[in-house]
Amino acid sequence: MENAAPVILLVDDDPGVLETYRRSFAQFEPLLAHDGVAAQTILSAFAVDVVVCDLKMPGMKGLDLMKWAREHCQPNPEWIVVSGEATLDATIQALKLGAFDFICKPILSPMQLRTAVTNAARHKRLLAEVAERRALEVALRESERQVRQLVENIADLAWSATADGRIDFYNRRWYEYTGTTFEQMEGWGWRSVHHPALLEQVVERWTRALATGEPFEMEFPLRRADGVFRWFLTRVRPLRDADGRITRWFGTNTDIDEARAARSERERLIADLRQSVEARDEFLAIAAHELRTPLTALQLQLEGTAHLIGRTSNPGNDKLLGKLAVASRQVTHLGTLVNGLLDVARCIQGRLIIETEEVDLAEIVRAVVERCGPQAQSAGCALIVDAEKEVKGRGDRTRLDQVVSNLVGNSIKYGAGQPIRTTLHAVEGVALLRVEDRGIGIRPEDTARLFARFARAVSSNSYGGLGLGLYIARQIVEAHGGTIDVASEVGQGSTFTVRIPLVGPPAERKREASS
Amino acid sequence: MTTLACTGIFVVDDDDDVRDTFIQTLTDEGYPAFGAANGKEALGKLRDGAPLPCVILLDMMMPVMDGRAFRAEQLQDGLLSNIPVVVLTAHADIRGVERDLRTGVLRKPISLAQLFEIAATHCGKPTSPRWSP
Repeated sequence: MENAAPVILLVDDDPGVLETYRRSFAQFEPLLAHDGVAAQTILSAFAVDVVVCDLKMPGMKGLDLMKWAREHCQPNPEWIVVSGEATLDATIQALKLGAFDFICKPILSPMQLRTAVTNAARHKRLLAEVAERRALEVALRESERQVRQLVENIADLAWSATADGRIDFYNRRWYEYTGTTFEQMEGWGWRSVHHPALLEQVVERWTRALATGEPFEMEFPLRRADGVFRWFLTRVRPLRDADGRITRWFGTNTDIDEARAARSERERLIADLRQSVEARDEFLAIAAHELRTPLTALQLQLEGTAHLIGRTSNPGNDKLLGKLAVASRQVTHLGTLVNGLLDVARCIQGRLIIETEEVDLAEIVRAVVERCGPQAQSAGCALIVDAEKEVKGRGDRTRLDQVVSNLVGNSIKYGAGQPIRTTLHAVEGVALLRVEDRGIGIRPEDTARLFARFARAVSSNSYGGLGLGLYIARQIVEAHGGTIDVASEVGQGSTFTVRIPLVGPPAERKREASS
Repeated sequence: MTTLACTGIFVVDDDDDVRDTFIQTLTDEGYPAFGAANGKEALGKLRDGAPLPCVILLDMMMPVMDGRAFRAEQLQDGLLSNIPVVVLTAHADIRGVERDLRTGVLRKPISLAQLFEIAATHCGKPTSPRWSP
């Protein structure tokens, strides 16, 4: 802007004079007007810096043009009026209207006029600069006022420090909270509202931030006016100038006392809960183990008694043996339930042990189906088996038997007296076992938690059991490196699918590979 | 099956009912049987000069001295180390126990048939059932 040539408008009714002017200012490429109206048009269209205007013109006089410009041109150009002696009054009036200079006709040298124009242009430029600077200052002050107002009114405590870390401003909230004065807090005085236990650490962190220029965040307590300490999250950021030098530091302290209390309360609750769950699992393991011992004795006593009775030939033995058989079945059932609990406890504690050996799944399936025969018959379910003659792989015979028993047992239980189909095939090194019933089915919202602990999809009033079977089945299948899933539709029945790699559990393979 | 002179079956289990049931059932069947409530008591009885048993039924989890410690002591003792031991455990890791204790292992609860099979294997067929109608 400073280097830009001034825009000059020359107004005179005498074409000869205009031509002279034009030549004098050729380097500025001046605008020319031969009367007031033409000048008005130009002034309306261009931002003119300096007008050289003849006062005495036919039509619109120079003074009228000046008056018009004062109202219509923003900013008003600088005016240099040119007048003969006859127009002295007009000259004075022009000066009163704010003309920058006047030149008497006849103009003796182009130099005189050029100097006047140059001075006027410089004056105009200075005025513009002053106005601009003033506007900037006003804007800056306003912006500062707004920032200050913002800082004063935020809920956080806030402060700013010089580049070397002396705090020279605190907001109102700081004083309200701490009940201190600026004199007490100035510089490093803030240390007096810190908790002694953490002060050293705070000072160290703040000093390090000052040394490295890194922003820092820390949680520490600050003393309230009444002496109570509350926890604050403090964030401090450096403010840098255009060259990247730190000019100030700006910090806020956000009250997080309640959030912190809530957080530690939550952590305590979670710890409590975890402890309770662990205690429950531990109890489960111990209880199941303890329950088995008397069952062992009880079972042996029943069998021993039956054995002894069998040696005699008293009348009524059959009745006694029948009663003993019922008692023995109940003890077996009790043992199964207790074993289930023990298995769950083992699964939870990660102590489910898979003893692998060469097994034939087809043999297991046939054995289970045969064993379930009486149960299926009393439920009115026909058991259909479609298994390959032999599906050999590595696995835990007892555990796999448990899985198949559980699935077939469930199907009988929930099979609504419809046929149950068990299929077993080896497909690309994977044993594929399906147990399919046409029973009551499972609602979609229940299938997800079906394999979870203590889960059951139906009310425990109508169907007994602890709801552990599928959980254990899944643990066993997964320990073999396999998967188990279910597809079901309410009223249509369920299909459980088990896939087990025939090469054996992953852990065993790993062990073999490393040995 | 050859009939052997049975010197008794030694039941080591801390649970009185389980121990007594084993002893009583075996006795009823014609096998001399006696017991101890833990490993330490068992070692004491084995070292008091009485005839040594044909087989020891050993529980794993016991107070004072458990099955593992008992077995270690027994193997150290030249006079006792040859007595066969069958471990009865509710422990899941049957293979691990078999390997560590170098014994046969049966998972609790065992059936009457299993008990009699152990007795028959180590002591032969009983000649004179004590209990009679």
